[in-house]
Amino acid sequence: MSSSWALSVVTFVYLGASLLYLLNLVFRSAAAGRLATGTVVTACALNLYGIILRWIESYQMGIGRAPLSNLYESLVFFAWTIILLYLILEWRYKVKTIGAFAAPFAFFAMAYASFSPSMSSQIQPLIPALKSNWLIAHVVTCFLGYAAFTVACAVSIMYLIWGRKPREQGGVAHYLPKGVVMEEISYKLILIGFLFLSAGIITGAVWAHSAWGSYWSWDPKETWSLITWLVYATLLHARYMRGWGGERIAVLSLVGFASVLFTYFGVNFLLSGLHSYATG
Amino acid sequence: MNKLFDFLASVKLTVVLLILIAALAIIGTVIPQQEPPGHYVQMYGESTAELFQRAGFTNMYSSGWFVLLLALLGLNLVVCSLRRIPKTWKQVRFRPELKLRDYSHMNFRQERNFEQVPPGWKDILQTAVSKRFSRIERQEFGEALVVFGEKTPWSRMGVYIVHASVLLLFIGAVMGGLWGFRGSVTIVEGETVDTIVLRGGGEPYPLDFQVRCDRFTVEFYETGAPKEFRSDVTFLKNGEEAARHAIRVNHPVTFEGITFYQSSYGTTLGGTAGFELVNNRTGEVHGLQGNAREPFPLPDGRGSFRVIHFQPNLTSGGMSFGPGVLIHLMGVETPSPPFWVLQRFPEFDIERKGSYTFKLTSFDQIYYTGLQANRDPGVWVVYAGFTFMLAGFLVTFFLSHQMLWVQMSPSGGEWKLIVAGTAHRNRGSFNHRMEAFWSELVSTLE
Repeated sequence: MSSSWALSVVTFVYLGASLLYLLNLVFRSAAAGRLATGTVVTACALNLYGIILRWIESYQMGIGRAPLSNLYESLVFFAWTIILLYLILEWRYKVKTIGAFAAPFAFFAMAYASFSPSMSSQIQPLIPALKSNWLIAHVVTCFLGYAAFTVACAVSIMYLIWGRKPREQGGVAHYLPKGVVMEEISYKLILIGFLFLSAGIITGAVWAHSAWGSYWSWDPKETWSLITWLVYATLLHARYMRGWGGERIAVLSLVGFASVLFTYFGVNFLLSGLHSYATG
Repeated sequence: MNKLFDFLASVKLTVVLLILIAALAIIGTVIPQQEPPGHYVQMYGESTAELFQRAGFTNMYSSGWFVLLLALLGLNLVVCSLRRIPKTWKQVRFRPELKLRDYSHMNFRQERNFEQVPPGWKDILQTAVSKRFSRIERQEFGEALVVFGEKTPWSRMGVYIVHASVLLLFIGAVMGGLWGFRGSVTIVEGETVDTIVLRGGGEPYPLDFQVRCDRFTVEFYETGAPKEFRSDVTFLKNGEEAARHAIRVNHPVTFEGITFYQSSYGTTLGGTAGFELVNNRTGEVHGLQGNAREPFPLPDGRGSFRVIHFQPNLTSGGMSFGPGVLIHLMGVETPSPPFWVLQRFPEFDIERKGSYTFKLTSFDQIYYTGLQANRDPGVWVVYAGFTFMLAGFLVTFFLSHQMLWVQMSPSGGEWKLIVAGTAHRNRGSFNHRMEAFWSELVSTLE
């Protein structure tokens, strides 16, 4: 079984898991919830297996490099980090309902990687600029950050829909975590995301300094990662110091996630710059 | 004055500045930066282009607006932090007076009555607290006992570590701007240079040493994608070899405070070049061979020529003409501007109607390497800022100032145990841990 085949299977398993989580939420079916968790754990393992297999394949081809160097590989890794963070969340807080909003993001990432006609899943050797020990540190930290913001966005969407609704017996809201718990979860995820985004920007800066002689060049990708950082910095200051909460923080979390998406995809396709190898 | 101070210290200002900086940064990514003026006129039309140029939008990140906002953010950070630090420090150093209390407004509070307590209960309480807290105080009030535990009070200062780190980034960047430079140099294989060209033009910048490019190599993968660019260079001090290094992408080399980065390469004419010159008056054909980088004497002895430019593949109007050399005639009776001679299209030079028609018959190519040469004395300050920032985040996000009181007192023939505590942050998880502590303690006492 080749890695790209395994990874396209993962796409469908994520779709299945998303639907099961949705069933669990809509029909309050505990059986669907248990099945969903089983499915998503399987998908997560298979996703990791695909990543490792791809790594091994690159060695068999005589290229030998971490599978983290183009858009396809980043999407595959992104999907995995989303699910990994989500599973930790499900285990820590003993709630399955968030899965209905988090798992689809992993599915979308994998579907884009597997089915976009412009996507190249070939294993290409590394160009000189990417041959650096900083590659793994930079990509891993960035995507852990992105994934945390993604799951935070999923929770914020849930909060905006149900967070302040009366928790009537038998209603969907009753089945969800309390509004304050959702606020706490998304806030913690944002802290983790902010820490890793900062680490990602910093490792990128140190790398850029050794590759291009400048730790900051206002390249569009750099600038947009800073914009994302500023949005979440604003959110944290508003929450800490001005006591913002609830709806306003949830909306800022969505704005931050939109900025993440633009940093990840928009910059590649709409603006040109130093990160051009991340487009295909 | 006080009002101005309040304004500069306010978090409202911080939030407004963060949003404004983000907004200007967005504009800077949408409008292409530092293009020639004509480019903007073509893109946006005369008047809009002028507006953008005047507003600094075409060089956003060096514009007055942007720098002013960053400076204001720095000031805001300093004023706000200085104003809060004394208060925070008081909270860090605060030692609450131990006395018998009810702790009714505490974030976490549990109580329970015991008919009897096991012997040595005082030590049991103290041991339980000291397992989870680093600083312990114990005080007895008659038969009653209060044990106080405290953990990581200094974590309240974490936010100032983060603020200081941002200042370090600003300071490092300013140091780089004031005392550093960015330059570049191209060196043909075998040649030595002692100056670099600084970004922004101007006179060549003299180095205190010389750099020789011994060899440039480029390797390709089977797919044709580049695998490695490598310059083997020798640094010379007063003409004597001081160090030899290989400069590769991602592996820069620093010599006497200047760091050299592999950034580009190309080929130029080197070794021997051969020409065939046809005398247009007599039809006589002369073959010439010589060092490509030196002048060639003309056959009639009146004047000479040299190659001033070489293109491995000359392109014009979307057509490609193969290798070409730009020839400059020197010391001839009728001077003419430099002209191109194309190896694959020798008839091209007939049109020029000069005294000789030039043909390029052979040439050798050698590599030149393009290096960036930078000095940035601020980079270590920036890196210190990076380290402080991550450390500050870990402290601010994951630690909190935690306090716990355990109080046992006789009450109506029974013993009343109260466990109460608070954390200045992450209260949910603090309460969670304290619940575990509570049930552990109760089961030990039962």
